[in-house]
Amino acid sequence: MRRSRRHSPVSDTRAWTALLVCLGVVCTLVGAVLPAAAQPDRALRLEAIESMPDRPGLAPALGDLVGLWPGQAIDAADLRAARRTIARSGWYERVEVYTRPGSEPGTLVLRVEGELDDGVRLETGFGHDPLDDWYLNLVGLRAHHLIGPASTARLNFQFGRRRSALRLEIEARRVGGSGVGLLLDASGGAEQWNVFDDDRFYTQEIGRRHVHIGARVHPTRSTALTLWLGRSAADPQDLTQEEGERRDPAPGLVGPFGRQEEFGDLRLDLTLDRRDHAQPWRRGLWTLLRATVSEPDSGTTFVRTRAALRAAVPLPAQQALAFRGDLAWTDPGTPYHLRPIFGGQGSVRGFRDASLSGGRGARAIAAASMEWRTPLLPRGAPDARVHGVLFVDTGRFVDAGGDTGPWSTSVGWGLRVRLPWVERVALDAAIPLTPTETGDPFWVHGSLGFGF
Amino acid sequence: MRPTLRTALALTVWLLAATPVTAGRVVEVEPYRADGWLYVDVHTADLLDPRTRSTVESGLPGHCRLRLELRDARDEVAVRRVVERVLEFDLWEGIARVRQGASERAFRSIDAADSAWSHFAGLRLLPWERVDLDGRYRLHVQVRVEPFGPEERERVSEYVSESERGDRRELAFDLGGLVGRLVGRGGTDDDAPVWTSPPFRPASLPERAP
Repeated sequence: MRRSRRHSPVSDTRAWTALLVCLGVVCTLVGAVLPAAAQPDRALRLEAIESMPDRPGLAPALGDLVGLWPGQAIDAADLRAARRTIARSGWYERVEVYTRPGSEPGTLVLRVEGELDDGVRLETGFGHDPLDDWYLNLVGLRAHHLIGPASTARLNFQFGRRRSALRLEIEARRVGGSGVGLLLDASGGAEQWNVFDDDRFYTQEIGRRHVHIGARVHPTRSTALTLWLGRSAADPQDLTQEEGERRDPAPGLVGPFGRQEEFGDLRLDLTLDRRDHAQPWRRGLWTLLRATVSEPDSGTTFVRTRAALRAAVPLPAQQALAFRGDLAWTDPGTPYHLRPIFGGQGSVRGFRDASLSGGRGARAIAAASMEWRTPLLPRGAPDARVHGVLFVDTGRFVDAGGDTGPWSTSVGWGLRVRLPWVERVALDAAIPLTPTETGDPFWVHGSLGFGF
Repeated sequence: MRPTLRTALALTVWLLAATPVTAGRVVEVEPYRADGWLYVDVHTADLLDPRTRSTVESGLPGHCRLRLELRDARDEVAVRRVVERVLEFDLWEGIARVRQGASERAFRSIDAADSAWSHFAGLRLLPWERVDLDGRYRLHVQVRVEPFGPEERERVSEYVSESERGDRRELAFDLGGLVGRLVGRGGTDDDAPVWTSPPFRPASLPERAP
């Protein structure tokens, strides 16, 4: 491991907090300026959204779903994207989406007519979360409109690269026609914690379960504030050696840990979503600021914060330049298995998953990526079947002991292929430009969607 | 009765009888010979269904896609043509426009534009020397009209749904619906209906200007 110089925990805390605040301010300013600059002349403006059948809260929930709101300038491409989103939401058996003239010239009303689908569906599928990687919903049940219009209840067996769980999620949007949505998220399963020690690779299974209830409001049209409250538990198991010369794990490689750690959690998420509806991979902005306070049944309260930025700027010929930024900070009392990890798909792609942050996780991370995206087949198409990407990732972390590691950087290339059923799949190959823990000359990652 | 008139009348009567009362009816299909090619004129009616008209009146485009197939006696496709047209109304200038490829025609009203975009004249099908003069051909015609324009990408199965929560994005496949479809219960494609003409013999077609 690299050891540069020691920092005091207090100065680390201040520096990371300042970085988080700065990122939040920049995101808010950029988000406020971007749409104003994009206003066209003589634009058509949305006056209202109407739903047939008309149920309390359904029309505003449709607006939330497709990201359209009264007063917004819209065009045919926005409405094609909205129609596609509504048709694929599963909210309707069949749906017709069209417009009618509004009360003034140049205004229009979006009408959504259809038969609500309130049956219980047996399903399978995929999902992708940039903060937690991709996962497979092996089999599950889904029902809409059970506890009010536009509500969704889902029960799934989820399998990810490092996680597997039975998960129940309920979301009641715009409850009683109000601006408040209620949420329930409960799961029980296991997570794999990766530990690298020279040429040896260990895994540790950590049993996890949680029950969280939440409330979501939209302070502005493109922001959402979600408050979560609940309990969680972790049950770390013994380490298993997967690769390398057989040897017992060194003392202090992970942990410290006990059995059945339980926590009371309070979490606040603030998201700003200004992604483009028609080409979210090419233009727009999405940010998250997250703060979590957890109180263990035995021990002291600890705090975790997270800031994430995803942005894309259009270039000529349907190309784009995309940016990703992530900052995370945890206070020193945070259990190792709840700390952020560094290296891999979510940070620096030339390295194996979690290979840089070590067995005890990172106390803080900062990572940034820049990706050039260009349509390959057909060339210059607005929704090409195949995109090529070139990227550079860089970042650094503060390890569990409070030491700041060096910058880690990788470059690479990838393909984004649009498939009829699976949508886009991503394949990236990346070469580390800085020393690795594992000695791999390159690493390949796969995921769903555009990656970020 | 002249062969032209006889053929057109037969096709017209047959199509009127076979056409359900829905948006985008095909009322006349008139094949003929011109300039050494087999041509066809297609007349449709009621292309502007109420939803598409409402959309056009609000300033957004309506889109029409005509798909034409010439099939031989073995029901194999001899040639396939696709024609796409857009009808839109400029709210500020009060002009309706019909666009097809690079060409554009302007009209004073949506009704006038509707009349023009319903008539597909001079659709070239096959060089006359490739036509089996004594063979029997049919024309399959499909018309789809929808607000805003067509999807930029292919239509994905109705059994796929997509959800997005925050930055999380999920694709789900409806196993129950798929199984139901496989065992023959429920689940239909809602594609536009296909109108099939009665058979015609190229040798009996008239020759005229396209």
